[in-house]
Amino acid sequence: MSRIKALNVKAQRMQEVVDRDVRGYTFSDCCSSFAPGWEVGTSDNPDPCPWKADLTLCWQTCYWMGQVPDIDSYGSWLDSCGNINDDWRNLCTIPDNGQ
Amino acid sequence: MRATLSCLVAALGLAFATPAVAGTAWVSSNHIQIIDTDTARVVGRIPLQEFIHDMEFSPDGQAVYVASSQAFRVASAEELRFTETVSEGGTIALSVASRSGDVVTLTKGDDQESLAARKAGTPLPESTVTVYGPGATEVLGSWSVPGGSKDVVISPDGDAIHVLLSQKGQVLSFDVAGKALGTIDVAPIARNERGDVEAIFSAMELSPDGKTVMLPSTSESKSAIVDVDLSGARGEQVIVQDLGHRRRIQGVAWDEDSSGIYVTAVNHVVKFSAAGLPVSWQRLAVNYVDIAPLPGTDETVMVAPTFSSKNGSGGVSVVDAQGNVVRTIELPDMSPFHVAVAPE
Repeated sequence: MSRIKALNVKAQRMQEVVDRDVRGYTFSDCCSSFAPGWEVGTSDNPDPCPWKADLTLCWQTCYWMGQVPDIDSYGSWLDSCGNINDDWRNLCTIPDNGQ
Repeated sequence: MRATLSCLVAALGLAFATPAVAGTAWVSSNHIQIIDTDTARVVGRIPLQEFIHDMEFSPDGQAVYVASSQAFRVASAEELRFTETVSEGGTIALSVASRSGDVVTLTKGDDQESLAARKAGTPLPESTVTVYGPGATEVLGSWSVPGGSKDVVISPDGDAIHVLLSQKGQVLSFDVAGKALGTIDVAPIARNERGDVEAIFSAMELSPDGKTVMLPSTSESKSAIVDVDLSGARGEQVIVQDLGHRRRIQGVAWDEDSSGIYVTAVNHVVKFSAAGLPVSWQRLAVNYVDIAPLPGTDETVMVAPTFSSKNGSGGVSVVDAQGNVVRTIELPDMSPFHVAVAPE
């Protein structure tokens, strides 16, 4: 890649951009996204709050922005997760059409 | 001689087959693993396939009461297996009276009825409080409380039960027969048009002497410890201690001598005095979500659902009073959310 020269302004700008390998999915210490793999803190440090750790809090209180169902309507939601880090794929998806 | 040798062999076999109850921590996700806190090794595993909301030892340490998404169960602390399913239904909290040994559970309403109520915008189906005698063999009382109640505690002598109605920011008090004793407003903050508080009240912890209940509260603007006096000795019953930050509070546990409480917030552990003042504040590399003191020591046991993101593992750590991790075990097959430590 280093041997390829930018030929126009747009390409030069793209070349100058520092390619960050992490993207912020958190605000302060609050997990906002159900996007495993990209959890970082506000200053690009490793996520202070991996979404897995907050799942039960979101589930039980329905307050934070984690996209999880509420415990009252989906009481068995986490039954298939012994290790949430691996088993999150077992979690059911709650339809957004209200069914 | 042969008989003596046989007895010796049998005794040795029993000693190895039956792990000591004291010095163990039970940690849970949708099953239970038992950790020896002296060696930080797994000494037992109890499968379940139901998410566990709460666990607590009986005062004599022989039984562990387990509240899961499907039932309320009793496990033998020596045999490391469930011995009884006491009642069916999503049991989201339980509490054990430290002196009488009575047990109280909080069971939520049916999933489908709750979903229908959510869609219709009507109140959630009621939850049920049930009080059992020691060993959970006898029902002493059972009554309904508003849906959406999140936690329950019982006084050391089993004569008062307090239920956290988190959405309203209230603690409802009852006697063992379900007679209402009063309502405490634990959220002297602004409410929305429905009268709901816009803050998390997910749990409450009763002091071992039964005189104080502490409730962690987190809102968009601040985190606080709500200190509620149950003894009537203090002029101001409810005191809100602003923590000066808005890290989410996750785990709360009283020290065994009622001298203060431990609180885990995101990547931190704090110890507060009984007067609600922070006495120590430690930053930790891992986000621990539950905490329990080790009896007879100044150490605590903490659990992290994600101990190593790289390894996809959870973990359990023993942490000293200075916040140093003195022992730890990485659990490749578990993300523990709760911990219960055996009494001495």
